[in-house]
Amino acid sequence: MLVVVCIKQVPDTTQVQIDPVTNTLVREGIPFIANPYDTHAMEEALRLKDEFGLKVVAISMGPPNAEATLRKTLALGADRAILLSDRVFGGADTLATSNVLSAAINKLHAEEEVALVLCGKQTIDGDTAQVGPGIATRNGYSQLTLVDRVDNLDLSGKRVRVRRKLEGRHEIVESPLPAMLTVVRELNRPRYPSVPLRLASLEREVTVWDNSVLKLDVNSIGLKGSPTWVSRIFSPQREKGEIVGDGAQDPKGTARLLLEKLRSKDLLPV
Amino acid sequence: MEATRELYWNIGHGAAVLVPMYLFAFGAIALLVKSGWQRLAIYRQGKPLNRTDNRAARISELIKGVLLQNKILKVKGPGFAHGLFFWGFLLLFIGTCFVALQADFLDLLFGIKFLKGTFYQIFSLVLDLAGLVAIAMLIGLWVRRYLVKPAGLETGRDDAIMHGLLFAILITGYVIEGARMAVTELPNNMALAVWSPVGLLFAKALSGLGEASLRSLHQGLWWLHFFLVVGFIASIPFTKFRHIFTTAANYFFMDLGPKGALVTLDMEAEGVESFGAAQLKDMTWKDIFDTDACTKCKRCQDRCPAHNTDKPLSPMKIINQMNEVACGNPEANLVETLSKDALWSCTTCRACQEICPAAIEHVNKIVDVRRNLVLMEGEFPGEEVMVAMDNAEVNGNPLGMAFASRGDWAKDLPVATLAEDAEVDILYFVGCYASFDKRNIKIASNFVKLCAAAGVKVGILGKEEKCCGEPMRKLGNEYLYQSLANENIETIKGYGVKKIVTACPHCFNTLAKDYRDLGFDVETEHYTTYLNTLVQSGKLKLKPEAFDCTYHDSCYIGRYNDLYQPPRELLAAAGGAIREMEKSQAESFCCGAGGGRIMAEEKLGSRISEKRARMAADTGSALLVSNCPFCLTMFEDGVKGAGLEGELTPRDISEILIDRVIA
Repeated sequence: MLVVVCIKQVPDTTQVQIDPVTNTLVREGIPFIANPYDTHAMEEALRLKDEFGLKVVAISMGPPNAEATLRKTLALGADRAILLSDRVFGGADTLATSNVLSAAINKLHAEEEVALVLCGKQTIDGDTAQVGPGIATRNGYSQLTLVDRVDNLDLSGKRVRVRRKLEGRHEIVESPLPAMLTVVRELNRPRYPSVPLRLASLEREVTVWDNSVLKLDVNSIGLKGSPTWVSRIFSPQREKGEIVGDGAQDPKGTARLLLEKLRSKDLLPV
Repeated sequence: MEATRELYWNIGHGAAVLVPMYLFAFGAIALLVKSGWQRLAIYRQGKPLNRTDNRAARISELIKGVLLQNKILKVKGPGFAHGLFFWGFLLLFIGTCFVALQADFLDLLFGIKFLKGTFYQIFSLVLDLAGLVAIAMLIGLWVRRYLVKPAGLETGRDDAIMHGLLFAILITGYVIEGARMAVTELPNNMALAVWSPVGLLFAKALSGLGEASLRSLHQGLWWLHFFLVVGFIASIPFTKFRHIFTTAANYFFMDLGPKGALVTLDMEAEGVESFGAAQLKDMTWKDIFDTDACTKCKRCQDRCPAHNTDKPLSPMKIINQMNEVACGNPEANLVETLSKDALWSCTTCRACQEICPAAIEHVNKIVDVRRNLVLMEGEFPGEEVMVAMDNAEVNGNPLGMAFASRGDWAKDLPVATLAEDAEVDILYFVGCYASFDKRNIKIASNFVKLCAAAGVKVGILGKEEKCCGEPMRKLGNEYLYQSLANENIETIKGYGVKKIVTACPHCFNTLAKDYRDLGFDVETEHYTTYLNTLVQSGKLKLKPEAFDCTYHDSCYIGRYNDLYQPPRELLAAAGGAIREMEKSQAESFCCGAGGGRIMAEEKLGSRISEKRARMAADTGSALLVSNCPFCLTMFEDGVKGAGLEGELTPRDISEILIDRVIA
């Protein structure tokens, strides 16, 4: 049985700046990394491999240079890495992207049963958190988002029980396989690749599937299949803060001032 | 009457004496050789390593280390006691050989006697005094070990055997001499007796016993003395006495440098599936031999910054634990035996190795096991270190700063990148901390300004520069080190650089020494020596202004490269009067950041940097000058942590110079 990990190669957004003139991301001199949330999905897949003997397949849709990120998954211990790359896939929004990824997962499923699909909860460049759920919807998989713990995986009974990290609470959910999980950072600590695996990964093949393999309708993929249009990208300018009162001299009065301030902005229930 | 004595007096020199005597003596020697031979099998568990090249240099090390006791004497007190005892005992050994040579060989076969006349008088006096010195030193060492009991000194069965045997051998020697002299010299040959003053004292004390008693006492003790010596020889392989051979040989097998070099792993070697040392067999025979040369003198432990701040590392313990593995449990997992906390605590400061009187190499062993942890298991001392490693891989610096901004500090300074202008006098290899860290950027800009004042044209690599890889390497990540190093080497070679100057001792040691194994040969200097040359030659003019400071020798400029004077000369040229810390120069106490520890949180024990800051404050100076970005970073924290803010200010040497430069 397979566990499929969806990985996206993203620019290291801690370093990304937006060109104030063209409103586009300045990508020059910015290194690419694996989307950090996806590295936790990868780690969980490797743990499931260690525990249940599942085969780990890493897939990524992206330009040819995304191969580097996939190769790192081989260095970590993935059994197979597949790059979904074709000019016609380019310019995709989350809908078109999930169409391509779903098709690739279905193709894998035809070869060997897919038990789980793991994704990061969102990417750090798009931040939509839509692709994982998009895959689940298209493939009819159980959809378990924001997973911070996998409690039980019952492969013969085809069930999985996970804990979801929600605002202020946790939720324990059980559902049938195959399931799509999106994961948060608290789930695990990604491992560091050992050198023998890393060296071996340099020799191994990253399979490339283009649209001649997936045979998708060109109107459902790439720019043509993307109903989303970006009108503007910008960094919101943070207004200058204000120092309220003097906490050292008059802590009580200052706290009162702060409360008034928050109430006046409707940030606290009266 | 010619001065001499009858050898084997009162014992007899016939077959009844010589045959059993030589049988026992050769028996003991045979046991020694056999046990030594068997012990070779223990060393052979290790991998091959050539330590028999360059014999002339090795023999010179052997003579210095053994005959001159040069390393032992580095520590006064016990060092001098050992040295004097050694020389005393050595003379007695040589004297005994002379006696045997004349009595049992030259005289017996050819009738030749040389122990006579003036030579015999001097021979007597020298041996008599040698014995006295040896006994005095042995008593001193006994008092130290059994009464003073210095902290950390382990005393066991071996020590009791060794003290007891040696003392008994020396004392019985004097009593035998005294008994003989009481009969032969005291009554009628005082002229000769005075050449053995200590023996004479014993003779006088015994003289009341009467000849018959003296003769039987002499004979009995003579055989006792003989069997004690036989016991001594036979016990060598089974006690710490073995250091007589193993430590001596270890000087011959010494690492002849470059100082502190680690083995550069061939990461792509065919058929190699394991890296670093997981078991003893992954180390070299010399690593195992080292563990047999240790005498547990604890000098390493006394100086270890980790040990001195309550961390679970003692270099001595590491060596002793490895010895136990080698002798009894060679399959043992080294990480489990030595413990991860101990292994990660090492700052690779080299204080242990520098002082070790047995020429043991501690640091490479620790790094070897770390290599296995990192390269095979992907383990680090903490999450933060793994993040730093990933940062270095993605952005070329462990701080996680954007690689493209590496040269931003130089924007308004008189320096260009080699990509803009490759015609420069020197390439300044900036390093990560001086490139990105706010406090350390000052060092970079000061250095560039000082060079400008001296008329030196400086270039930098800017965003093409990568971390030199040193912290990663010392933590065991040889793979990442080599990939960073190879990128730097390719870039620097591409510009045809003739000379490199670094402001960071870690970059310096790495570029100047470690990169050589990767095919890099550009001359590299640290800025203290470079600026010192500029000052001494008059190219860089300073207006000296008197000030008072203390100076911290960084490990990688000090112990790793023996550069103790150039920074002091620079400070003097700037008008500085140095109040030396108790631990300075080769005895300097690490700031805590070496060995890749700069990237790791110091979770165990107390803070090394705070301890060092207190040592600096104890000099009474208000200024702590160093020449390493890591040291500066540690001391900024250490001064705060030790509550010395306002009393002690850490400064880089470039900050002193920039205030006094004449533009």
